[in-house]
Amino acid sequence: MPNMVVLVKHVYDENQLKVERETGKVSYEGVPGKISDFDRKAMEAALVLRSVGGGKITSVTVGPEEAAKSLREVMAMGADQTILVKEPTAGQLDSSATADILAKALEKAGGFDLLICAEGSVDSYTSLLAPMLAEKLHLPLITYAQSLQVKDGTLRAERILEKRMEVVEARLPALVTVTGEINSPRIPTLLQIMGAMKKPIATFTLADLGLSLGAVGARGYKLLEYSAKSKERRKVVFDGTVPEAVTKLLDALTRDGLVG
Amino acid sequence: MADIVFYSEDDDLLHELAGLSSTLAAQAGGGSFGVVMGDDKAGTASSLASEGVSEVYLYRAPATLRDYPEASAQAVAQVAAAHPSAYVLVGSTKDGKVVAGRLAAMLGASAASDCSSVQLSGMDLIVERPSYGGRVRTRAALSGKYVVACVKARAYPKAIPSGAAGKVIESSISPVLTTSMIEVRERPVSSMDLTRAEKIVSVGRGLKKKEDLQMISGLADAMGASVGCSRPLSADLGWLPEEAHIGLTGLEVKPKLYVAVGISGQLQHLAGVKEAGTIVAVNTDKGAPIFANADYGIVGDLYQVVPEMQRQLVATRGR
Repeated sequence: MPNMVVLVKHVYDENQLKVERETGKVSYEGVPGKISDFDRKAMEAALVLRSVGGGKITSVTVGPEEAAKSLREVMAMGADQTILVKEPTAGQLDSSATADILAKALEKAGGFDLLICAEGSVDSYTSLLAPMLAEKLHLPLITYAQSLQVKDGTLRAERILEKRMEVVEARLPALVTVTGEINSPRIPTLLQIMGAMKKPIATFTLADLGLSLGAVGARGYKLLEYSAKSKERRKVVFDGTVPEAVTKLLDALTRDGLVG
Repeated sequence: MADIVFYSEDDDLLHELAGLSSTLAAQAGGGSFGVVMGDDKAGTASSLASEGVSEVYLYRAPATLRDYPEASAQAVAQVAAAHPSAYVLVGSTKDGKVVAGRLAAMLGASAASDCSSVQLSGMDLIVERPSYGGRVRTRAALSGKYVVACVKARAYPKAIPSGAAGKVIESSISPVLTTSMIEVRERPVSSMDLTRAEKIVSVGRGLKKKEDLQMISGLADAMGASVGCSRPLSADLGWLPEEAHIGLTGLEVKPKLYVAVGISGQLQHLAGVKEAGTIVAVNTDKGAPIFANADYGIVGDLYQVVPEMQRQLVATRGR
């Protein structure tokens, strides 16, 4: 009956980022937030383990008030309880600061056997949080897991690396990160979504955890510039009937020396 | 004055980091120190020592210990902690990022992964890394007694032997291991290497059934292209192998011509093709994001457009 924790990150919707055309400056104004997609896979992995071995799933995030939206999403999927560590500037924290906050929050919540998170988040994708957290909490860590199994207090996972795959075991309690390919997360029903709206979210501030913004993390990370780099594409759409459009396309590609 | 310490479990990256490390060390007025793990790497250690590295720490241990990032992190931490301050460079592989994260926590350091550029400015290490699947470029300054930067493969050229004679110092650790390796398997290497393909026809969710892949490979053949796909086709449907998956969690490709068929163009997919020369999009939905990220587009049903493209290619070019 492992008690599981699924870590969630609330991020800006990457498909709605606003980029200033001339300067390449990225603006977040009015950009809606959402759950980092890969976290739904971490949640699904926990749900699958729960369906086999029972246990309870707690989902934790560090984020602004609005991050409750992402917690509601995993609650609709089936999380038993959720914790929001409310910090309006969470988006500007580096991995080391977030790891410090999560470590404290998890110590406070206590009594968990398995921590699951995604291998990276859709925004910064550093993959550094889990190893930092494992170090701080003195937990065994298995990263890039493609499959999970828990038996007799031992976690067994298949790790997918660049050139090889490994089967690795760790005694619980342990921390595991899962790949984007581990599963296809379930889509909650409308009823489940509505049910999740009514469930409580345990909310803490940094002060509640005995922390302060100036005293978390290594404090040596300073963002200098954030700019969108995308090759300007020509965006020519060929019209007409299908044969006409295809002819225009192939003519263009021939002119460019790409076909023929 | 500050020293540079570098580590990777990958030999190519070690030689790349050796070059970068020497450059940074010269600027910082410090030394360049390499860490190499495993009994089988004595040769690597001595060649690094001739590439301008002041000292190479060769950790005597069975080669299999290198498969435990926590052991490597303990070794690198031991070397770094012997210096009052150090910039630590780690090869940004999957295991390398685990080493870096642990190392940063052990040393109380700030860290950045997937860095494509690492420069010294005063006492700060200025790094560039991608965010939002490469759409956004982040520049950050890392500072502190210790900092950790994970450097991407092929971001820097390999060091050239300089004739300088650095020292190889044999070292050892008694690592605390919290996981156990049950099995290691080489991943089957597919003959297909899309990262080197000049032309790619890539297909996405617009394809209705697996059998229709024949139509896609028909077009690819007529163009002299390889076949790739977006994530759902390999990961969810299993119609194509993982080696065909292009995107944030798959391959980053750089063909001269990329034809996206029935792919809507989510950011996760676009992250894998941002370096493509010319992008062609075929999609029924004229509002699909792929069109805003393509050079040429046809709004239409792939089941009509693809066979017509193949027909015209074969007819006019006699193939």
